[in-house]
Amino acid sequence: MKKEDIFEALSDIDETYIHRAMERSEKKRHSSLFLKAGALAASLMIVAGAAFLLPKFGEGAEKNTEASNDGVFWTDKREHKKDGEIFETQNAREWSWEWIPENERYYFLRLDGTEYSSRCKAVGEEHLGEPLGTAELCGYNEDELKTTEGEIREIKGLDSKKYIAARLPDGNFYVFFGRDYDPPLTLGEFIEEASLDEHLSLSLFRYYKEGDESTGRYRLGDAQSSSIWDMLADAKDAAAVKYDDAVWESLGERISFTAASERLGIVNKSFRICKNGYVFTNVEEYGYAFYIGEEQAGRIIEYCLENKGEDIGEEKKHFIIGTVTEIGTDSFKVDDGISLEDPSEAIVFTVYMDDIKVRREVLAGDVRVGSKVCVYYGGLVLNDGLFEIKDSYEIHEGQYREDGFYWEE
Amino acid sequence: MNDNDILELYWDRDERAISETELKYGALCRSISFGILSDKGGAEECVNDSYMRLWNSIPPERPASLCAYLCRICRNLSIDRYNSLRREKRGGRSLALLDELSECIPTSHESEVCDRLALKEALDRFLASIEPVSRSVFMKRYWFCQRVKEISRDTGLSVSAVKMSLMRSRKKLKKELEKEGFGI
Repeated sequence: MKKEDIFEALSDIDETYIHRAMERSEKKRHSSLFLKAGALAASLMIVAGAAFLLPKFGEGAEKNTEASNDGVFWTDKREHKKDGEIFETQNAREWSWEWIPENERYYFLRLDGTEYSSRCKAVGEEHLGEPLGTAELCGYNEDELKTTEGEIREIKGLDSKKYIAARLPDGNFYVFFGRDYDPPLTLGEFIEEASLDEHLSLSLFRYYKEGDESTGRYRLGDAQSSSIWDMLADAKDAAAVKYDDAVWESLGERISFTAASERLGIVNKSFRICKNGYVFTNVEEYGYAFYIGEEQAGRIIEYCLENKGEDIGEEKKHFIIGTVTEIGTDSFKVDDGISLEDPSEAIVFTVYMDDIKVRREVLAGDVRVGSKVCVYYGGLVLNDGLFEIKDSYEIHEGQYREDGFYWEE
Repeated sequence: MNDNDILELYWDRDERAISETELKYGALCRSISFGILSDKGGAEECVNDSYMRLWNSIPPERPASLCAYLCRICRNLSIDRYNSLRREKRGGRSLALLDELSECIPTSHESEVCDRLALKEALDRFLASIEPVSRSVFMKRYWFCQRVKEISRDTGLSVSAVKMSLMRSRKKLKKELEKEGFGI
């Protein structure tokens, strides 16, 4: 059997599966058509983050290859090729133990008959409650089970059947969630189970009139976030509906909150309220959807829009794209000429590999001298003539092609 | 226009059938084809060829799902073109999707010839056995050739959750294929 056999045989599968998945893809794409001039562009463009579209960084930007007064150099101002677009593919490399970050090594445990999984997010001491003893923390080095004993604490205000904190060998406590899948029947149950109204801030949101392009990103105050929870509490009897279907019904007018909570170990999850009456969220490990009705959803959306203030813009992700020219033990060098309108303005950056996820790709992964890479970093490049990047956190190997840069992660 | 109306146009040999098909399914077909070929020009040709196949096959065919029928044609034509380009060494980059699927091949049977019909049936059983969300993610990636970020955007799952779902599905598929004795 070859991999091509599987790929090709998939063409023959039962039409039901195609139809069902296709219905949704088609619905998705169709809504994009109204927003984009080119259907192809609409269907191929990655809109998950502005950082993936090079033109945002190149067009109209002032060139800045000279040392700035404060000694800081911003790669955002590089004049990138205007048709650049990054295509991401994925692999699922399973890293050996030494290359797994400490917070991801031990990712499940069992306590009093309940199995918990890690959110891999640290939780501060101030959120910790009573001690719950110790438990065996488990992880896998490929097929070998690795265990270690770790202290367990309650997290204040949370049911320990749902959430606990475990101390990992690095000394920090991390959020673990109970894996028992017991879906809530109503929105009220869902909110109460993790006291979401107390621990999850609904303050940062995007508003979508239709389709995939938001009109902007806005921030509400704490009091307004509480008001939204109050309005959701008014719909506490709203019944859970099938998540799968609700997702696809929710592409019309809506607001989508970026939900985060240190105590729950939640970062960058979505809590969406749709004009057609659906609420859906992936803040818990499973996706949940509820139908609160058009009237209540409309009221919440209206309230958000009335109080939204100015568009705060998209969060910037800083990156460089270039060719790896040298690999050392602590750093590697990237020449960014391939991504520039004028390759003669190329700069060779020294990228330090303090982050294990960058280091493993370069020292144990597929990145070689000559590889084309995209490196994300925190934003600071010291311009002392060496152009050093010390806060890289993500790297992707890819291909440079005529019409852009393709990742082969 | 709904699918039945479009099918009627084909049966009436009305050329608006093509433009209505393009309007409704053009973007989807291009996306599938581009996912396989990574070439906009090639994808455009495959999509146009798909319309021609559709025109020539309806009537007499009357597909239950116009969309599934068209997408299948488009996917097959794109795979044929991809294979042809690879054979002739005229480009066609290595398809990352295929590398991912190589993880599903039962160990030690990599070179065995396999029965496509049996494999199709095994794939049907595998798809029936996984959770709807996992199935949707799997189909989007390996049938519709969507990128992980697109799937993430479509499903509301995080990128890492999509990757994890795909990895689990691939492992499960490998186990299923091994269990069903593929290659033996």
